[in-house]
Amino acid sequence: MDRLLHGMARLGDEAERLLNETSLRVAITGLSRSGKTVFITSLISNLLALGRGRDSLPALTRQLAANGQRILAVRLEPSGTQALDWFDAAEKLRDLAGATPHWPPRTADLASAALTLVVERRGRLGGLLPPRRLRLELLDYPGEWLLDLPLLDQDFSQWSAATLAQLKQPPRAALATDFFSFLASLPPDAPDEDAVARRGFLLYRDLLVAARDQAGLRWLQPGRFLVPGPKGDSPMMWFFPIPGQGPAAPGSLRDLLARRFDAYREDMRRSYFDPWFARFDRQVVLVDALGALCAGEGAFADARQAVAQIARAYDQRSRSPWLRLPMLKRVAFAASKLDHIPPVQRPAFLSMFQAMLGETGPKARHFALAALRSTEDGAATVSPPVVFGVPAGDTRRRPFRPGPIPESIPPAGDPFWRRPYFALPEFRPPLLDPEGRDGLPHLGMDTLLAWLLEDAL
Amino acid sequence: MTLPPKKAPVREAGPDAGPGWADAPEPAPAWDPGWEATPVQGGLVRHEGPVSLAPPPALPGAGWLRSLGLAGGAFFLLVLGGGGLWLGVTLDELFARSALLGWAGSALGAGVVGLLGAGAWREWRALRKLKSLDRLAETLKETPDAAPPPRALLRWAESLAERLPEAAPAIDQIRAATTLGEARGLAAGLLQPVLAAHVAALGGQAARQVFVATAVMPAPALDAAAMALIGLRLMRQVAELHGLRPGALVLARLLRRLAFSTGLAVGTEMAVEAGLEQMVEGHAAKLAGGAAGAAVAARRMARLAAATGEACRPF
Repeated sequence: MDRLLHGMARLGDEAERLLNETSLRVAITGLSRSGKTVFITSLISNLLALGRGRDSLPALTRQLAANGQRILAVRLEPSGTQALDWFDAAEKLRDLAGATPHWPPRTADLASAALTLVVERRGRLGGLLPPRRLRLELLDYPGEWLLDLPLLDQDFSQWSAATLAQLKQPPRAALATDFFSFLASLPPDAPDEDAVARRGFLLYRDLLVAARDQAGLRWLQPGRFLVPGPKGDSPMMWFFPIPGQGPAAPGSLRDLLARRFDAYREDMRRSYFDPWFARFDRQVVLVDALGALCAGEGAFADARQAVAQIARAYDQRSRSPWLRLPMLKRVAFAASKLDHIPPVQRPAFLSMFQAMLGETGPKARHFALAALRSTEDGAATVSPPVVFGVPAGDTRRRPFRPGPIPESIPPAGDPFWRRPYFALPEFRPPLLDPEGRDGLPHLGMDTLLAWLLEDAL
Repeated sequence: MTLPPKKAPVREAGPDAGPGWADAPEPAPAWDPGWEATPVQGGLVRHEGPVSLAPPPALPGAGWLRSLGLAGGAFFLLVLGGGGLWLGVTLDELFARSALLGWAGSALGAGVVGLLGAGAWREWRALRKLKSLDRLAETLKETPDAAPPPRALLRWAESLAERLPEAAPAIDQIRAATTLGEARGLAAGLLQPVLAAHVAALGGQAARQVFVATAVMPAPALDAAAMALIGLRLMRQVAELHGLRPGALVLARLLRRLAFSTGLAVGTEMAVEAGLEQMVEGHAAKLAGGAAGAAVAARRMARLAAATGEACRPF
């Protein structure tokens, strides 16, 4: 009898869920330091504040009101039975709003969160029916790992050839002298000696770290060399690009490196990409376009290539298992750190961002946003225009100018690119309520969410 | 707290000046920490919070029940005033006949007025309890999960323990919660099942009574009367279980709440159960002596119990 009752209860629950609940898996993607963690924290905080009756996302509220709808409540879902880490938005908020506010540390492993939006139904009969529930599933992960997504479709020879060709180009060439010296010392038929493989791996990893930290580059493969994740450094990772075509001789160093490359690729596929990165309905691609613009021509081209490759690889993997139909219904490309730019320059920045990405297809749209607004706008009369922010670790407000922002990409050799490498300053987060009562101040998050969820609400 | 930007000096620079601190002496490179030498007045950045989406309070007189309420007030005044005048005249006549009769009439009048006052006092206290529950529900909706649990939630939970000793361990756990999110989860996971079991038991008891009543009542009109009586009693029991004082006015408010919100929000559940009821109805009707709708009426009692329970909980 109990089993019958439990079965009936489950049947009722499932029927109710089928009628009233829609689930959306939203992939928040982006290269490292593009602001994925803060984006997710802001999204969660602002939606929760909206559920508590604060107009924290005005564009979304207006869009819902135009359709005769409103959000009645927003709940953070319990963790259920998932094996992933739980994305602790409250802890991230404490980082941002604590006594010594700081940005959340670099993400080192996968974490997910789910939100339920309780939405009033539209129409005259809508009031007579129970409200709809929209379940948003969000995933946070180290941005460096995303760069391994295009790696899945390459073999070791292809990857080595492409990587070595890139290392010979500036600005990488200047950083890769030690690594090339090491490659030059290798005999053509080097045996599979582990000490040699490890030495090559360490030199290659140092090169990636220098490219990231000194030149602001983002196209850095393999991603786990920079952020190893919970498994740490394993022998599977002790490989590096090496010249050579065709099948490697058994017992050679190239054969060892190729087998490790295959093992690494398979581990990434099995542990991360297949279980977590496939089957998304919506995608947000965050790009630090301003940082790339300030870092110089090489870094800009590098970021541009990385975003294009990731978007392509993502689209190929997010397809239905049988007919291979694309499952991604909307892709939002978002340029982050809009709060570093004065209002008068923001239209030019968005235009430049669109030019940076080129044609992205009918289901994609471009946005510029700041998930957490850390600055205040300067007076419109000041030339050049500035924003005011407090540099990280300080308590004094300072004016910051991002410099000229072109509406289109300056051609190669343009004087614009002759400016020295400039790392964007890190501003201290604004004063926030540690409990997130009012959500997080932002720029453009509401416009992005209104478009991304438009057809699902 | 927010200082106007004009206090921070901005050095004018050419339109092609590269990215950098606009208060740094030209042509200092943008990343040059030389700005340390030129401190700038100005505090931390604080943005204004978003506006509230709460609907504006209704204008006085906007409610359609207001005119009815005025009429009801007038009627009440008429009855009360008329009764008072009648009592005064009657007492005067009684005292004119004999002092003993006058004092006896006075005692009777005082008793009636006292009982009426006690009834009003009970109703007022019951309404106050319901209002405090509504205030708690509003506070819980407004408060972020990271905030400490409000005292009113603990008071509400402790008031439950007086009626439900088996809920005491759950309340001890809730008392130890440091955030509202934790308290909410503990209440949903530990306290709510205890309440739900009691509500289900009350609903089941009422369902059995309705089933039997429908079977034995000789006329459909009497079925409806029995259902109404059992239903109201069930609502009183559930409200009492949740720490409310179920006076007439509180019951009326709960009924209105069920009619306008909870009753309609269970639409999907009703649609799902309709199929089940259709299956069971034929056999149940035979058991109930052929009375149509006996099983449906019994199921309604269980639903009424659950819906009343939801209306009496602050979350």
